[in-house]
Amino acid sequence: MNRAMSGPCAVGIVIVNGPAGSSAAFTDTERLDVVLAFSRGWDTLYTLSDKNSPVRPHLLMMADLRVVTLSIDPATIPAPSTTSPSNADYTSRETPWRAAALQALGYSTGTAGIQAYNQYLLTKSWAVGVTPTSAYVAFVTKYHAAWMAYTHGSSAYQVYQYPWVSASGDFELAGAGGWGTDWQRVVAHETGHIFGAPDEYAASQCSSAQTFGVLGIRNGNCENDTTVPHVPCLMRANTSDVCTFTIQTFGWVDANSDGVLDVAP
Amino acid sequence: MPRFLAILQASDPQLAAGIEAANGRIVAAHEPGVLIIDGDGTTADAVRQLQAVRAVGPVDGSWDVTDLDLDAATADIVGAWNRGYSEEFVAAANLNYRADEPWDFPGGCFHSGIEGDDSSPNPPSMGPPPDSGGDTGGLVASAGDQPQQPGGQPGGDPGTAPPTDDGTTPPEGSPA
Repeated sequence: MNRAMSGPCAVGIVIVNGPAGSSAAFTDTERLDVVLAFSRGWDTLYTLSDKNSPVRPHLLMMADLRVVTLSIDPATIPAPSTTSPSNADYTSRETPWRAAALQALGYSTGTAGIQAYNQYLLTKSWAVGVTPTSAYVAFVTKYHAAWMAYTHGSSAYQVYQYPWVSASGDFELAGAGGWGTDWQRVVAHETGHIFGAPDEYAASQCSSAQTFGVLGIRNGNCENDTTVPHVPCLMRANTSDVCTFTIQTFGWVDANSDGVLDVAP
Repeated sequence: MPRFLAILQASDPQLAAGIEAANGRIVAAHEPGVLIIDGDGTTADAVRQLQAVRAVGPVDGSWDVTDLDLDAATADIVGAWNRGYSEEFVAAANLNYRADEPWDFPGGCFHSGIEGDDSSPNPPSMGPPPDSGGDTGGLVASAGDQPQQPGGQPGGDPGTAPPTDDGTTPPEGSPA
């Protein structure tokens, strides 16, 4: 099992589409936007790995795109109402469309279905002729969610609420705006979470004493630690830079300089 | 760095090696067989000669594939690539909207706890997890591997992690 950001990683991108004509239905252009955001977000990580890893990590993202169209009326999913969503807020919004999407894909509802899909991604035959060593699922939807983008580390899945995360200008939900048409760095940031990297921005309530990733690296660029200077980092802000702590959390470390990453797949 | 697309006509375990021999590297692979390749025009010419490759697009530019009679899934991937070169998208990308702004997701957008089978992320208000010696993220084990569960026990139902004393669930890899 590979828990570092290296080697081939399979990703199931599930576009959770609403009924035709509804507010949850994706247009063709929006569907392409989703694919483009993931491609560019992964490209950012690939470029960062080239620049920052002491040994090439052979990062290769492999995408299995699915579009499932549900009959659920988007009006039945409550709009987000707070910048501090509770567990119940997440559940009430995500569960209905996520469960239906998994069923439409032929899997059981809940995290068991996500796990099964991930196992499929790990074992299926890929056209590129490469066998992945890790996998996760990314749900992208126009149905409401409690927040615009988040990652479940332990269950290996992400949620992107497309209209919100890609919004610019005055568009806001629950008092927060999105990150614009080119929201690929949100994808890169959330993918960082999949590989164990923590948030570094103050609002995340991070602590520099916490440790993360396969190598147990502390969150040394956490903004809440006022005793140290902070540097630009993808896990801190909307930038394509990356800090030393995140580099190490990703597993881009060759401590003994033997030309092999310490946690190579 | 230059990028180009390659559309496959067959699967080949030696494909990645063949592309590397042409000084290229695969950045991403989209099913049913579209590769985004890091490489220049010389690499693209060499990749075009590989047996598993049906067609190769221009370097850093949109690709007119109307003559290729592509299936819908492949056409979508190429369409997404081309959208990245559309005037509308390039203009929007050049705005670099909210560049360098800190992410403002309340409580963080990384939920590392073990949730119940149908539950959603742990509430951000639960606060940071204790020093766990390494939250290892959410990658799924290869077939045959046993995913590590809370308390270091392999396998098991991810929804069965007992709550900690304060009612929250423990972070992955921490003592249950």
